[in-house]
Amino acid sequence: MIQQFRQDILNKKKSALEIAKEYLKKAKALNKKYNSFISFCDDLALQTAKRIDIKLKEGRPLGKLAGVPIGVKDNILVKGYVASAACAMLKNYTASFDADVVTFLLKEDALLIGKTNMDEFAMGSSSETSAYGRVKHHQDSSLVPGGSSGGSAVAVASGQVVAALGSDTGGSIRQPASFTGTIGLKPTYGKVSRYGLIAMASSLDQIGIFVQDINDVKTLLEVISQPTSFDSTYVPKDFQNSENPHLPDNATPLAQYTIGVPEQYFTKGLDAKIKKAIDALLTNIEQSGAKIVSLSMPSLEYALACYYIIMPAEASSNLARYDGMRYGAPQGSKSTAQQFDTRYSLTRANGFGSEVKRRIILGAYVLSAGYIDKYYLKAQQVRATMLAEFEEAFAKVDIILGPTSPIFPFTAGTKLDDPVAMYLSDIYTVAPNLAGLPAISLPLQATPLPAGVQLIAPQFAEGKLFEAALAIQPLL
Amino acid sequence: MISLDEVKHLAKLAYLSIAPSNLKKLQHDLQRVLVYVQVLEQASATKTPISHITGLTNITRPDIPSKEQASLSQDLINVFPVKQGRWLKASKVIDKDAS
Repeated sequence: MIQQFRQDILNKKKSALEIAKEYLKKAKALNKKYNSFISFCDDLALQTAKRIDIKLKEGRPLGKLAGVPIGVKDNILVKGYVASAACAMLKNYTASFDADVVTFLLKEDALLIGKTNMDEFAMGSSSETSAYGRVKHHQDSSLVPGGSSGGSAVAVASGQVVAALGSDTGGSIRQPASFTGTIGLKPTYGKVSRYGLIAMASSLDQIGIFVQDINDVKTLLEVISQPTSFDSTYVPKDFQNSENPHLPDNATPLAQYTIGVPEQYFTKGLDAKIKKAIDALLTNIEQSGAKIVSLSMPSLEYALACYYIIMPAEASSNLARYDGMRYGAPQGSKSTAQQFDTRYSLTRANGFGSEVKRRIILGAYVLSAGYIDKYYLKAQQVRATMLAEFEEAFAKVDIILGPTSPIFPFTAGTKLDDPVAMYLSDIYTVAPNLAGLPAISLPLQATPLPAGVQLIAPQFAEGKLFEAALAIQPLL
Repeated sequence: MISLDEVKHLAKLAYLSIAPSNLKKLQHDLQRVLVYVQVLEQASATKTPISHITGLTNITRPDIPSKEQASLSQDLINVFPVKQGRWLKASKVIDKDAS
């Protein structure tokens, strides 16, 4: 799909400016229905488009993403534009610099259409906690599109943009991809620079992509995974320990694959229709000659519990910076030191939504003296066990396969009052974040509403992951 | 498992003012999550805890100022919520009269 845009410009079928205007108009019109964008980057998109048209006129080469309309999640910084992360506290915060991924996209002449709506600070699984109102599912406005990158998912699913960037801390790309019938990729931790991504849980956060066409994954991932010196957790290419780092152009026949299916991914809570669709897919895969191996990975049962200790612990530390002095609108009187605590607390009370407050307090609790061993250190030990179990599994299988989310898109408002019910929609997606693994969600067919199948590969084996996705795609 | 007093204390430590009418609901929600994460007690824990997953250590870059960084610092100052010239204005933490 991406190639078509570049080709149309090269063949003078359309100018980049025409594409930019067309997509800005379309995205804005549909936004009234879906609320998938928080703001639009008109000036930037139009300027980039004009630059592309001049380049073409002068016979200079065009970037790999020339004329491709792209949405960027609102927790990723685009210089000169508000980056609110859907939080009331940051409604007036204008980014002073571009995130690395944005620099890379612009260097390849991508058209950044706008900033997509999301759960506040990426904390949520339904895109309902945004300070700008909830994102609506493109097929049925009473449903949620998943989250936290729900705006990016709907923007791609509804054709407002061709691709979008999201962030994934525990499933925030893959779960909304599953809910909206799009393709969502979370790369290996350290594969893509997080410089300019508003941090939630630093050891888990990773920037990734949404597309409709599997062939677009390769170009986009190659662009956003370029080296950086601004993120110390970025793993330089020479240290990306994998035999399959490069994304191939063609699929390898399925007969050459051994696919692992963890039994822990098929426990109670999995919707019967999703289970049926996954079972049918597995039968097809097996008939294509691939070997299916059942795996037992006991630590997966603890993945969600582990995540809901480590993530809030890191988030509560990361969010300490929102104090009304460096960010946010300070509240209350400033005259005396006695009032310092009150001002600080009021600023945060007014600026944060209830899910954010819940996670900050939960984080403070699991890190507090007397509880840190019981919760935080235990969770980190289980995280180590989980990594070992994945490594052991990948010694036997090429790829691990399972459902992306146990459920279909649900009705808005039905899970907001019960945090655990909401969290359970991410039960299958959190483990790859805890183990730093790349994972992709592909849309499953033959279900009444969208659902997804998740493929997981070893760290930095994006090549293998993409190769398997290409091979499985025709069976979906 | 988590008492109302604990919630109040944690909210104070986290600099979050919580309206008294919301405290009970917050306690209830936290309790719900803490009950859920109890399953970890059954997990075997023989490994060394890890906080970083790819095993990188001692990553640094040369500490050389660049031209872009000089203009960036002005851009960063521009977005301070309350400022005076190039200074970030912060609240008073110590009172002159306090002994």
